[in-house]
Amino acid sequence: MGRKIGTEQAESVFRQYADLIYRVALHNLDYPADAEDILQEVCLIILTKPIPADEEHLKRWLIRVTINKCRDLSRSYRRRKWESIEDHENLEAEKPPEILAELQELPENYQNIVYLYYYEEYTVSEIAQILRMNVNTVKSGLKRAREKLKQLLTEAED
Amino acid sequence: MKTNSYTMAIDRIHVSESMIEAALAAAKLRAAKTAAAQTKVRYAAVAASVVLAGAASAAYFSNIAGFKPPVSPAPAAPTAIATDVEATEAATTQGSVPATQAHTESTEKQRGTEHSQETIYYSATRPTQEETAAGSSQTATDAPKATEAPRPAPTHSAPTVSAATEPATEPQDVPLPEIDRSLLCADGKLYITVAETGLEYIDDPAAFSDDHVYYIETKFGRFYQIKPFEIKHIDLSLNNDKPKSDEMVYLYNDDGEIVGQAPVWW
Repeated sequence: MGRKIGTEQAESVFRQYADLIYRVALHNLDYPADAEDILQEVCLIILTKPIPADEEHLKRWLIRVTINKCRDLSRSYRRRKWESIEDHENLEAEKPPEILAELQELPENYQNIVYLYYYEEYTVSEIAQILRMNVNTVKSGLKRAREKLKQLLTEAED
Repeated sequence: MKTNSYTMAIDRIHVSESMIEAALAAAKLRAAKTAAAQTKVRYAAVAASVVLAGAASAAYFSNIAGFKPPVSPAPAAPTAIATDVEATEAATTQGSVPATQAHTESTEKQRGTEHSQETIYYSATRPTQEETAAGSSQTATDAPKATEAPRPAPTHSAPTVSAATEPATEPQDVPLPEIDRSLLCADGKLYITVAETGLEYIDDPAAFSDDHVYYIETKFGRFYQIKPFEIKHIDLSLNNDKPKSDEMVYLYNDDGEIVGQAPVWW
């Protein structure tokens, strides 16, 4: 299924999908700095691992890899143990877009469903495949996320 | 694509070119880690608890890292070989790093395999051929000779390197590079603090050349580009001068070469 590609090609793949990786990471993590870490992690994987040959498969694979890396980071011990540097240094932390911050209140994966459905325009069954979820779970997640989005967007308009 | 507030917000999220370049550079460095680099890391663990305390410390840190026995100024002096406990005791009672810590090397490497689990501390004087041949492997360490220059006291626990902490005894193909003393701070230490984000800072920007880009590898195996000139406003009170772990970090230049190393201080 996979093929190992050369450095130049890997660089090209990374450049092509950097926005996608970063956006998916932002949907799964609290801080842009963490998303940048994930960018580096996924870049390393592209450079060193065999990657899917066809374009569409590659894109889905990268989404999957990015989500997995985000979960690894979220679960890592150091994130739970360490204090936030912003609390100590008056550094203005770069915040994710407000709409993403609001969406973070949704259960895990719902943000990914929203992103994949609305932005990447995958179908429900494709999302279920990518996220390895039941189709009905994706549907219900999408329904809840829609309600939340609607509420957010209405508040924003007011 | 249906346009709504959400998609418009996402549309505005882009990865900057500099972010892409930084991620690529860091990932390439990580990918380029060769077996030789892994060997370096393994051997560096031997010296993990050594603190860089001034030029003298730096000198014998590189000795340890390089696994080169120090040159004997007085070949006829008695062999000084000690166990871990003895070496540690010597450090405690004398309040300074014992000369026997100037270099460690397994007996397997030095004298064959008959004492493979034994760790030997060489004093400033090496054993003579006759003494080595006689197998005087457990002679207690004497106090340093009066003629020996005192070494600076370590700022944390004296290093104790044992067979247990140094599992690798195979020949070292690529010796660790010596510490570039120009990278050390004025007090001879290379301080590195760890922030919540996983970024490591080196808190003496003046110790670095602005002409170069530096990277460090963290204990988590990630590489970060260090921009010392950008961290002048870091609150140094965050630095906690307690050595919490014996992990090493490595400083890389923009050619991917290790140009410095230090234990993590946080």
